[in-house]
Amino acid sequence: MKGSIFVDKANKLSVKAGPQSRLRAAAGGMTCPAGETGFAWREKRPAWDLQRCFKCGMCWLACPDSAIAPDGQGYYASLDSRCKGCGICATVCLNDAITMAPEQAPPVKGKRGSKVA
Amino acid sequence: MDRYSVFVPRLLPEAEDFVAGLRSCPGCGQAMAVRIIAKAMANAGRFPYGATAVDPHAGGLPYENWPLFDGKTLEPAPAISKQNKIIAAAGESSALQQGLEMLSVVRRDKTALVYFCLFNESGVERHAGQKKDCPMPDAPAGILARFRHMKDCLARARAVKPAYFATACPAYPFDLIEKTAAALACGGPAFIGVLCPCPTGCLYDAAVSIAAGKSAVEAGLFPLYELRQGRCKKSIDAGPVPVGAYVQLQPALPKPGAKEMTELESFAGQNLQECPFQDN
Repeated sequence: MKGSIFVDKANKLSVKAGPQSRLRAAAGGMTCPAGETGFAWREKRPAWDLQRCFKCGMCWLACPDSAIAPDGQGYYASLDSRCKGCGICATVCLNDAITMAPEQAPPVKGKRGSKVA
Repeated sequence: MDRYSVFVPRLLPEAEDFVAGLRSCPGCGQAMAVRIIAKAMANAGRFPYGATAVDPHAGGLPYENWPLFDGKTLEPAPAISKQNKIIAAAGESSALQQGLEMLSVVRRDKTALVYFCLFNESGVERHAGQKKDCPMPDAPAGILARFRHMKDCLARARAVKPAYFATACPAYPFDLIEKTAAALACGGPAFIGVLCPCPTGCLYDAAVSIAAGKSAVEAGLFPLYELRQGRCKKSIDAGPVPVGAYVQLQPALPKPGAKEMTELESFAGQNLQECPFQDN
């Protein structure tokens, strides 16, 4: 019996994203179908000043996209595959340890792969 | 709130039940609210009923957030009434009637239900919570549309007389966590109205999302309180911040005139008068 159009589309997307993404999707996690390279439309990204961060976790709590996770040392870092650059983490930071840095523009390529100025 | 220190977020569970969100706008208040509620539940339950407003946050195929949402629509007679706890989340639009009807039915059946009603801040789309003179979505009336053309949905929810009634805002995350825990522990039908800042609908910067929610609460446009066993307790002091502070945060919308500002201030004062704070 042929599956529905949604199941077929899901299978194609899963195959395209690779087996690791399929595992994460089955476990309830979410990964960007385009890979872990981040969003091309994001304008800013958070940058932490670890000398000012005192590991309170307010940025982690306020992030609406679950894009901030603690690292092994208790500090926090953003996940490029989820962060949309909204800047809420920098707003709620109690010690101004987070600044929004401009995102590096992705290389623009022409039709034949040549870079366009 | 005074008894909390700055390190309280580290006491919350690190597990991310709400891991989707790729379909929500940057700075979405609804996604923020659902994520904080999921952390406050701490694996105590899921959202078997998540309709309308929470649908976009469930993600798209094949990356949907099934561990948290079941995707069922609200129904007047819940089929899972034998369970101990039902947790539902929906918006104030088309699901409002079904949600209140669901709340009244479970009150009759003595089933525990926690119903989160997510109030979108913009409120310019056509839905059941608006009055008949509300402008159409392509011609929004600006900031006054949210307050002038909306029905009093909170009064309608209070009329159902749930065992626990509260209003919250994700700009005050610890308050929302406390109220979610109290709603889960009350053992009866509970209603929590959550004001969700909407940067896309109100056309302000996404980073201002939390500041907009705080100013709306502190100006009295959406006072935070909880109503339990006939006692109304104020959560956040409202009144010191003028309504103009909230208006200034939304630069792209039409500025209200003197007459409209007076109307907004009277609306805020009326909101505070309608809440009989007994225990502060």
